[in-house]
Amino acid sequence: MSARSDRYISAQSPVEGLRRRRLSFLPVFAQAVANVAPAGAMSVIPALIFPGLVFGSSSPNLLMTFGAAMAVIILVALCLRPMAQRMAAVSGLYSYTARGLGPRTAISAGWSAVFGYALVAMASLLAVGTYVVELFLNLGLPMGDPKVSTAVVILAAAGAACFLMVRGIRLSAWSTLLMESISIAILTVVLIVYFTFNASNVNLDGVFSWHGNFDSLWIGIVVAVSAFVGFESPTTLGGEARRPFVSIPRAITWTPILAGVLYLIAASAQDAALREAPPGIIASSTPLSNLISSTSPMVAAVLDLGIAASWFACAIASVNALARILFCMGREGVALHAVGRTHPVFRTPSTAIMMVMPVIAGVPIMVIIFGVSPGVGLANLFTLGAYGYLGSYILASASLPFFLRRIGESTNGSWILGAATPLILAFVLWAAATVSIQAGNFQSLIYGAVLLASVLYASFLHYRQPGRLASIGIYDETRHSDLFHDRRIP
Amino acid sequence: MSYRPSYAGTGPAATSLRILEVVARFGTGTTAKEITEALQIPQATAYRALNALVADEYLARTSNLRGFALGHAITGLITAAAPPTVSTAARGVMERFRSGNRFAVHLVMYRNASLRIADEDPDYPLQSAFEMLRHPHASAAGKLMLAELGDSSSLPMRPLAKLTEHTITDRGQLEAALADIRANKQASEVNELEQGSASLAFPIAMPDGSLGAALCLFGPSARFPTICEQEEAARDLTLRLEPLLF
Repeated sequence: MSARSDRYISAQSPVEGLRRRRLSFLPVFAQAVANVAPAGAMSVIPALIFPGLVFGSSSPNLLMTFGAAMAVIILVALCLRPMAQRMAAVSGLYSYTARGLGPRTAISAGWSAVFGYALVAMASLLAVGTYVVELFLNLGLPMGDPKVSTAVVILAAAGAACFLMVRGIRLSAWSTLLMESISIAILTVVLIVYFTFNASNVNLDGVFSWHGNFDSLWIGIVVAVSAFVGFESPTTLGGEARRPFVSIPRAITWTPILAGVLYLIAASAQDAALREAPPGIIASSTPLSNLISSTSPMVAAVLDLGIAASWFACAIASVNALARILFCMGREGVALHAVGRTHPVFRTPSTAIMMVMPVIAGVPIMVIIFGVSPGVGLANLFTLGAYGYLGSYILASASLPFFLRRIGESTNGSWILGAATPLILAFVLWAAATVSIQAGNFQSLIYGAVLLASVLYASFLHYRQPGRLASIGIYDETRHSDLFHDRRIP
Repeated sequence: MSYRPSYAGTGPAATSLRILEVVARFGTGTTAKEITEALQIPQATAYRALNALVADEYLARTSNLRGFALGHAITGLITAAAPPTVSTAARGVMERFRSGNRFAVHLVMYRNASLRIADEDPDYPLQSAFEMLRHPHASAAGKLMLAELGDSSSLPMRPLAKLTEHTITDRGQLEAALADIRANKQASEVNELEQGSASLAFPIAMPDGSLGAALCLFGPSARFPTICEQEEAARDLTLRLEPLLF
């Protein structure tokens, strides 16, 4: 290689140790779909919007709420796409922000993303516990103390997830794909069967009518947006995807569209179904399952299985993404060096996975032990996680024009998109925070504290250890083997 | 630096090829700005084409993400299209050998698992050059290359073409033949490429010991034993050609 190419291509990859360029499109897509967990969200989130309606006496229009949320998320996807086409990121939005808005802002984006993934992983494990116990109840199996059995299920699920993730990205991605497909299929079939048998009782007028107020629409949109979060998680697979500049942009563009369509169908179906349902079912943490259980416990058990599988896949996908961000932070020296280690055989960021899993499993078990109702626990964890995601989306989408300018490929469209998207997201976040503070909820304050801590940490690094801050933004760089080479054989 | 191509195509395929040409000329680290200026094409067109070329690995971004380099996917095209060069000294040695030999003597070079005819015997032009480039399993030089590549996974997945009655089309038989070639460090073919013709191929090694070229002797298949008598002289020639070629 000539001297010029050595100046442009570094000899040692900063993310050495991961299994490089092996994952085909389907597992990459599965990572996005599983992290969104459409089957799980379809069954829980429309229902969460009803109890979430603390102000409006009448329910909002679910179709409009989900349509607006889908539009917001597609804007975010359009912002992330150009960056995903140009950089094989291993730490997703964190490294995009580092390239665009600089390392100090990247710390906040990274912490927000880690916070979001962690909270959603905790919520997912809690949902796995709740639905598996519900499954046993529907099957009529004798359960001891439901608290103890839920905690045991969460522990077992966490152990299984940990095994799959350490064992290899291909295994965990393919198993999430399998579980997600099963759960979407089960949910679709059950909904179709339910509506075929109850068609006479269903009144679709309510689905298309509008009788909410705008306050409830905003909070509804925030909850609906949280049903899409996670679609960006393939951006942490840049090192491992076989053709990262094809599969990752494609996955983050199509996942919101696919999930959006599924949600619009499920939301209108449940809107119609739950409108007629008794208040006890609407208020429960597993409303769809309870509703169907009143028709047939057996069908409800199958449904529980599907939903639990979806949340289990979501837990794996979230921790996979989380572990890769921590892995990069460890390599950069802005987190413990140990989390930057990879498994010598399986070539996964195993130390990061093993270090976060006890926390991820511990929190939902604490929630159960302290006797918080699973419904309340789920709503709080998901909403809190959504704040983290939204925070990282704001910073990453604002990074787009600066990222492109820095590499000399700035376009007018990127400035418009990079200005409009963060503003819309910030408005959504602000609306959610005000409404939740008025309701006496501390979620936004907890996220605010995390954000403040990240700013303080970044300032500390800036003044005390600028060298570490400068190393932020590693990604899977081009290697000599990726370049044109003139060899006689082979 | 300025460069303006003689023909300015405007379709997406032409744009992509012209971008590749600019990167090849300017070298590793060529930026998007340099490309749009050199080709006088709109930024948006250039970015779209660049992203597509990077996605398919015809181009790769440099570490700072600003610059581009030719990617590994272009390797096959460049090496197949570029004719191999043979030094005057090597041609002279070949010519002296031909004058003392009654058979056709050709020099074949290998590039990225493909055959190139580097120096053809002017008195006995190669009749089956077309088949040689397409069906390595049927020629001596091709089998030498397959033996060096190691296994049949480098062979095309389609069934092996039967050029004559004697062409080896069974993969198991071919593997056995390749094992023999690895042991004897020479390959032969009788009536496999063309009915009535036989050939021998002797490897010419590169400094690192890998196969770089081959000396091929062609003659009528009835005279195959006589061709084989040339082995010692041919091996001596390959040793003299090594430093002249690589």
